[in-house]
Amino acid sequence: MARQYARFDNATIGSGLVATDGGLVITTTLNSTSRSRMARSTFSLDGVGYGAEFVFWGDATSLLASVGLVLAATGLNAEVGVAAGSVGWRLDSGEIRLSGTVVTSGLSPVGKGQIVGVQFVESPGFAYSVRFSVDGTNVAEITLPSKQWHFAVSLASATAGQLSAAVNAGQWPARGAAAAAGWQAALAPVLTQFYADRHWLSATTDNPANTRYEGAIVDEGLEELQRVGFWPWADAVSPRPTGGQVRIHDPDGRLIGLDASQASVLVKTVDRDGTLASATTVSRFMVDTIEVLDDGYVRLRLRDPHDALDEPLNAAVFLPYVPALAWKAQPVVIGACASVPLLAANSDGSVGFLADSALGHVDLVMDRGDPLESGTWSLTSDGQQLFLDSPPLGPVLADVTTIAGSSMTPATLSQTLHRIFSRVGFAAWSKTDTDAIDTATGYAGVGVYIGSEARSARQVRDQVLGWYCASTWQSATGVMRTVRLIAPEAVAAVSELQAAQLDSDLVWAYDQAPNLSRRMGYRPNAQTMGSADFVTDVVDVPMSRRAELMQAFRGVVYSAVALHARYDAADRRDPVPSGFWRREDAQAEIDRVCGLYAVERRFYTWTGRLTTGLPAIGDVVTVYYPAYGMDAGRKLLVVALQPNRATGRVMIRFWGA
Amino acid sequence: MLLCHSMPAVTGAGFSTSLAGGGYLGATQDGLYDGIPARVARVQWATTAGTTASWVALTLTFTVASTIRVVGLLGVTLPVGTQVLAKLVNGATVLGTVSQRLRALPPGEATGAWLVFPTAIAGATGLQMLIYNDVNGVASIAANTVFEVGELVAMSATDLRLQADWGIEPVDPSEADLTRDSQASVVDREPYRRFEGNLSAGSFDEVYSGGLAGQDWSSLQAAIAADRRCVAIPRWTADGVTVDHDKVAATAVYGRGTIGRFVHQGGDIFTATLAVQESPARSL
Repeated sequence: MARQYARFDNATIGSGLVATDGGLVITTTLNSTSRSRMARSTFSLDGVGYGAEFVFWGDATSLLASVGLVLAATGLNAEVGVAAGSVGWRLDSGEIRLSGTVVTSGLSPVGKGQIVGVQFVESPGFAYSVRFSVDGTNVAEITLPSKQWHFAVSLASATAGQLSAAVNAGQWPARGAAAAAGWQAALAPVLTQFYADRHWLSATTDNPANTRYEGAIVDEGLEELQRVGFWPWADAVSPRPTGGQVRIHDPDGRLIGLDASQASVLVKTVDRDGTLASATTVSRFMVDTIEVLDDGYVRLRLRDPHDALDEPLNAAVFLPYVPALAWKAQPVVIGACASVPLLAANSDGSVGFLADSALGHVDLVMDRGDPLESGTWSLTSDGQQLFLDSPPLGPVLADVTTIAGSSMTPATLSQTLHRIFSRVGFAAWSKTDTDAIDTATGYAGVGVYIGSEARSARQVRDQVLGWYCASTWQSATGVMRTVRLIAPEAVAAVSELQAAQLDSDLVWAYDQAPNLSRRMGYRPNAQTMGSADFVTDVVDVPMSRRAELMQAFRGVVYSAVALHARYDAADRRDPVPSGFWRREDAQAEIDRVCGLYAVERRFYTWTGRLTTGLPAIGDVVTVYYPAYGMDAGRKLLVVALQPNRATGRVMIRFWGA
Repeated sequence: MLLCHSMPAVTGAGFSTSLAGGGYLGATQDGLYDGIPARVARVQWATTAGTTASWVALTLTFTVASTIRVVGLLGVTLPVGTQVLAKLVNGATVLGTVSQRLRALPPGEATGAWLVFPTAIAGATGLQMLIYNDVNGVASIAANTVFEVGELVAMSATDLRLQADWGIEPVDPSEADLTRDSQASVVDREPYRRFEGNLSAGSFDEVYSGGLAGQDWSSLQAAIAADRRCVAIPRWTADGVTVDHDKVAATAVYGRGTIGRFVHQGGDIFTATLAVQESPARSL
C-alpha cells in the first residue's frame, strides 16, 4: 500500500491563504496582518511519534506566522493557538498559546529559512505532549489530551503573496526528530498467523505459550534461494539476494486478504518436541505476492525484507525560495567526487549549491575548466554552498569530498555504506564485513555523486559494492552481509562436504566471465564537460586536461596480469566503471580481479540433503568428489544456496578452479 | 464389522475435575474435535495429583441429542495403562459408561483407547471422557502435568457384514532416496494404515431402504463422504454381542472412508467396496 503523507488542502483552508504545489506550500493572498486564518493537514493523527516540519520564506519584513495543532472542529478563520481547541506558537513573538491562553513566552523569535518542528512525544502521566523545535533543537513541550489533531499554520503578510510556508510530513529527509516519523496515514496492522509443515504447539514455557502453528504448509515445504553475483559474471550483483516461496493450504482464505506490503515472515526450524525458545531462526522475508492457486491453496512469494533500501537516496528538493532551483532534487555527494556541478542559486551565479549535506573539503573549483585561484571562492558555513567573488561564466565544476580534511580524502567502503544506509534509515547491515574488506584491501576509498536522476539506496549500494567486486546476502536473522569474490584456494576452508552426502552427480560448467575486462575507469566525473564548455586558453587548461574532464572518468588503469586463454576477450572489453579516487586503488583492484582469472574458473552445482552443517554464502568449503581431480578435495566458494527448510534438500552452487 | 459414522456437531469442549485447577492451555481445546488427530489440544492436570480415584474430564457438548455407540480417545501423551472412562450424558442424566485403560494403538504406537458401548445410546447431548490418576493401579500422574490429546471421537455405529478378504495395509509415505554411497536419505512422513474390504451380499433393503436398523449402504455412503470422518472396526466381537476391546483396539482405523459403487450380483443382491484411509495420531 502506498504511503500517504499529510499536506495542506484548499478545501480546508481559511480565507486569505491558498495551498499550491500539491498542498505542500501555502501562501498569503490578502493584504492583511491579521493571522485569523489557518491551513490544516488533510488528515489527523493521535499518537506518539508523529510530527512534521515547516519552513517559511518570502519578502515580508516580519514573520507573521503561527504553527501548531488544531482539532477538526476548530474553525478555519482563526489563528492557530488563539482559537479554542488548538495549540500554537507565534513565531515572531515567541509565545505559545493553548486555546487562547499564553502558556509559554519568551522564546527566541524564529527567522525565515529556519525549520520549525511539531511532534507528539511521550509525557509521563499524560496522553502525550506536543514538542516544538527549531532546526532540530527543542524549545517547548505542552501536554495535550488524546484526540485527533491536525497540524496547522497561520500566515499573514502586509502585501499578499509575500509570505509562504512549506510542510515536510516525511516525504523529504527530516531536519530533526519531528519529521523523522512523519505525519503519515496509519497502516492497518497485520494479524500474526502461525504456520508449520506439521501441526505444532509452542511449549508452555515459550513466549507466546501454547500457540498453535497450523500444519498447513504443503509437502514441498519452503523453498528459498540466496545468491550473490559479481561483475565479471553474466548475472551481476543481484538486486534481491534472497527469495523464497511456500504453498499453504488455506481453505478459509485467511491469507488472501492479507496486506502483503505489511506482512513480514519469520522462519524457524524446531524439533517436534522442542520449544520456540530453542528454535533456530533460518530466514526472514517480506511477502512479495500472494497467489491464489485454487479454492484450497495459496502460494506466498517471499523476498528479502530490506524495504528501506528501495527509498530514493536523493529525496530532498530545493524549495521555491531558491527560484532558480525550485523543486529540483538536491544532489547527493558521498566521499570524494570529481567535477561536481555548481547549481547556481542567485541571478549571477556567484552563489551555488553543491550537495545536500555538509562537505568536508573542496579541493578545486573550475570555471570553464580553468581552476579558480584560492581566495576567490569560499565554502559557506553550512558546507553546502560556494560563494564566488566574481560571477562565473559557467559551467562551474568542483572536486569535493564529504570527509573533512585538507585534501581530497575518499570515503572507505564502510563509511560510504554507512552514509547511504543512514539516509534511508536502514540499520540491519553488518559493518564487520565491510570493515574487513577495507582492512584486507587497504584502499583509500570511493566517491558517489547523484544528480537529478532518482536512485534508490539499493541501486547505489549495488553500484558501490560492484567497485569492490563484492555482493550482499542475507543472514538467518535478516542482517545484510557482504562478501567479496576471492580465490577460494588461497584461504582456509571452514567446512567440508563429502561425496556420500550427494543425492545426484556433481555437475560443473565453465565460468565464461563475459563481463571481465582488463581496464578499470577511476575517479568518475560527476558532470562531463563538452568541448565548447572550455576557456580558450590552452596553457591553463591543456589538451590532456580537457580530455580528462570530457571523459566519463578522469583516468583508466590497465591490468597486465596473465589471464587464462579462455578470458582473452577481456582485452577488448570496455573499461569497468569504478568510483575509486586514487589510481593505485583502481590498479590494485583490477589486478586482483584479473588475477582471479589467471586460472580457468568453473561453477559447480551440488545437490544433497543436509540437516546440519549447511554452509553460508561466502564460505570456502572443501568439496570431495571421485572425479575431476577432486578425490583429495577442492576448496570452493559458496555463491548460491537453494535450501528447502522442510525436507532438508539443498542445491549449492560453488565457484572455484 | 462396525462402521462408525455421523459424529455430531460439537458446540464446544469443556473441562472439569474431581480435584481443583487444571484446564486447557492456550485455548487449544478445538483440537479435540477437529477431525485431525495430529492437531492436538494441550491439557493441564489439576493442581494436586490426587489418588487413583481422582480424575480430570474432557467434555464435548453436542448441538443436538445424538446416538453414540463408539468413543475414541486418540493421541494422548499419558502413560499406557491410564484408566479412562467414557460417559454419555443428557444434561445431568448419565446414559451409559464404558471404561478402558490406555494402550499403544497401531500404526505408530500412539497411546489411546477405543471404547465401544454394548448397545447404542440414544439421546446423548454430551460426552465426558474421565481420565483417572490410575496408571495400572498407581497414582503416578504428578500435579500440573501437561499432556496433549489428539482427538476425542464419538460416533454411532452400524454393523455391516464383510467378505472374508478384507485387509489393513500399512503405508509409509516417507520419501527415501539413495545417496551415491547407497545410504538412505529419508524425508520422514507419518505412517498410516489403509483398510480395504468388500461388503458382502446385501439385500435391497440393506442397500437402499434402511434395512440396517434405519441405516443402509446408501445413507452410510453419504454419512462418511466429504470432510466427515468414520471408523472401520472389522473385528470387534467373538460372538456378535459381547464387545472385545482387544480386538477393537487392534483393528480400528479412524479416518476418511469411501463406500464404492454398489455392484449388482443378481436378483436383488449387491456388493460394494469399503475403504478407509487413516488419519494417524502422532507416533512416538
